Amino acid sequence: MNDLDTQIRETLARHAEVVRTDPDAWGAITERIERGSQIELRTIGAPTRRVPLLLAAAAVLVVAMVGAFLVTRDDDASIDLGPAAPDEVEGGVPAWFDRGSAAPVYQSKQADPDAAVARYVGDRFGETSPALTVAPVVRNGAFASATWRTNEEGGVLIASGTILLREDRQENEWEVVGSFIDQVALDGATHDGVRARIAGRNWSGQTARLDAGGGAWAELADEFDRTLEVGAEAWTIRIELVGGTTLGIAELRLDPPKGYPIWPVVGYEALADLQADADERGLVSQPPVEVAIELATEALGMTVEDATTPAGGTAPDFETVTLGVGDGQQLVVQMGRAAIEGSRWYVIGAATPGFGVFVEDGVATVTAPVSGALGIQQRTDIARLGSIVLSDRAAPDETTSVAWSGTGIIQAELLADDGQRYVYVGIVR
Amino acid sequence: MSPPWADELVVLYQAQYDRMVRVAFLVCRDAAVAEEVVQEAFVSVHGAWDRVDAPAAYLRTAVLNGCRSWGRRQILERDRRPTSPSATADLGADELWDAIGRLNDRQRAAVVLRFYEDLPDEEIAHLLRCRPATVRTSIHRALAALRKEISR
Repeated sequence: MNDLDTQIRETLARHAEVVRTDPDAWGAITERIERGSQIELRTIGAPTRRVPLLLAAAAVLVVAMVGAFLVTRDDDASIDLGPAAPDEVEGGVPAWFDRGSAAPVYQSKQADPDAAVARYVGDRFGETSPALTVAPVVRNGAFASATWRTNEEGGVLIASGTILLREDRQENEWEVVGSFIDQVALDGATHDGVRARIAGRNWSGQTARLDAGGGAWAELADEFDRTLEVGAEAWTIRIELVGGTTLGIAELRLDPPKGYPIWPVVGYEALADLQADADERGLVSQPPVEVAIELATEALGMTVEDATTPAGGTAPDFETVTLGVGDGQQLVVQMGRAAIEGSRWYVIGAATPGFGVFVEDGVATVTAPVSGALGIQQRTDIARLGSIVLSDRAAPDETTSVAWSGTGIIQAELLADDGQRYVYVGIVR
Repeated sequence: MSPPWADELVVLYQAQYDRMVRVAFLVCRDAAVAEEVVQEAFVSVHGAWDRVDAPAAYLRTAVLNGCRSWGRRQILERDRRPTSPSATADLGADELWDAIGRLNDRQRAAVVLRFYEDLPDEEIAHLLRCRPATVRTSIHRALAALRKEISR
């Protein structure tokens, strides 16, 4: 082991050692799980009693800061639950929403989460909203949340929801990263670089409308599935419940794909031509193994003899299928699951084990496991190969590189001296 | 009534939580984000419990996915932000630590998994969704970059 290796090990160990974890992390985890299910989990250690005190303290702050149109909620009071949710429908914060990575929908310029909520609510609901009630902010480290409800006169619930915040420590402000309505289920939201799509259900009994951009609003049916042409720009999905004024708001921002998933549009739009059951986004609802086989046979001209997947799946929203393609060769196909519907997949890339192209800083470098004739081509799409960028020989003990300035699909093939065929297909961004 | 696997999830938590937070911290270099990522990863493990054969491996994958997800967002915002402060800033100036922080996300993750977790290339490749050859290339380039930085 050389000195640098040792220094790295020591440096990482030293910095890791001083990280202090939340002693009530198990409580936080069980809270997250129980928000999504009703399964009882064992408690570790003494339950915390800090929250009610914090709630009380925060309540005072909220009242002081947000003005007369915000009223703190008495958590002990009986609450009208409002419209009942249909069976197997969950409103509020969707399970797929990741508040750690979500882009902000509202930058409050406030260093205090209560003030940030007050500003957001005032901006989004306006001062004419009837009987809007906002509960005190609950903070957990760099994250915070606040619930709200709108009531008719007499206290009958119209709608309720949750605002999620995250601290931006560099900017010293709390930003709203998502806002959700308990009576509106968002089954999913995607942005494929061309279109944004939102699907869900509204059982509030109120009119729901979607901000379609340019000042236009589209009224949503009780079950909705809307696609908007938004181009490559980030897009904020904003749904309002309205009834003369704003009664509820759901809001989240979608960024176009920058890194991963890397092959949802270019590759699969074309592959969709080969698919009888591909939808308009080019995603296919076949099982991953069938998608992989079709890619190998239709796009790469291989003969598939068998297919295997890891038991239990590869990872969340990720699947690897290993195909036997004859002569003892394999093709490993990697796929990702589209967020909006769990049964729909796109291809990330495919490669014969040991063979591949590593593209960085404008140079494509080939890793060749055996000697043979090498070709690198651009693929216009999954159905059509483009120009040959490199035609050369490659060997395991040599570095074969070529300047690569473009983006899109790169395909490399190595015809080994023993006749074996090696293939790599991936995306360069 | 607790489901039969609840105790196993507790055992997984007790065995892995602190370690995973430290791994996440070394990759994303923000202690609060690291805790958030790991807590969400446990939620993922819980959701997939019935179909997962190796919960600890699944957890580690989910943690790396969470770090990657957070890293993508940082890329989008990098232009308008200074470098994220370290939770261990009180350790004082640390040239090598700073240099590791300047590696790209994949290189830094590969370095952490190799030199902190002591994982083989194949397992790192699985976690980073790339080929073992790419892992070797990433680590080779990372070491070259680190060597260059600390020799200045």
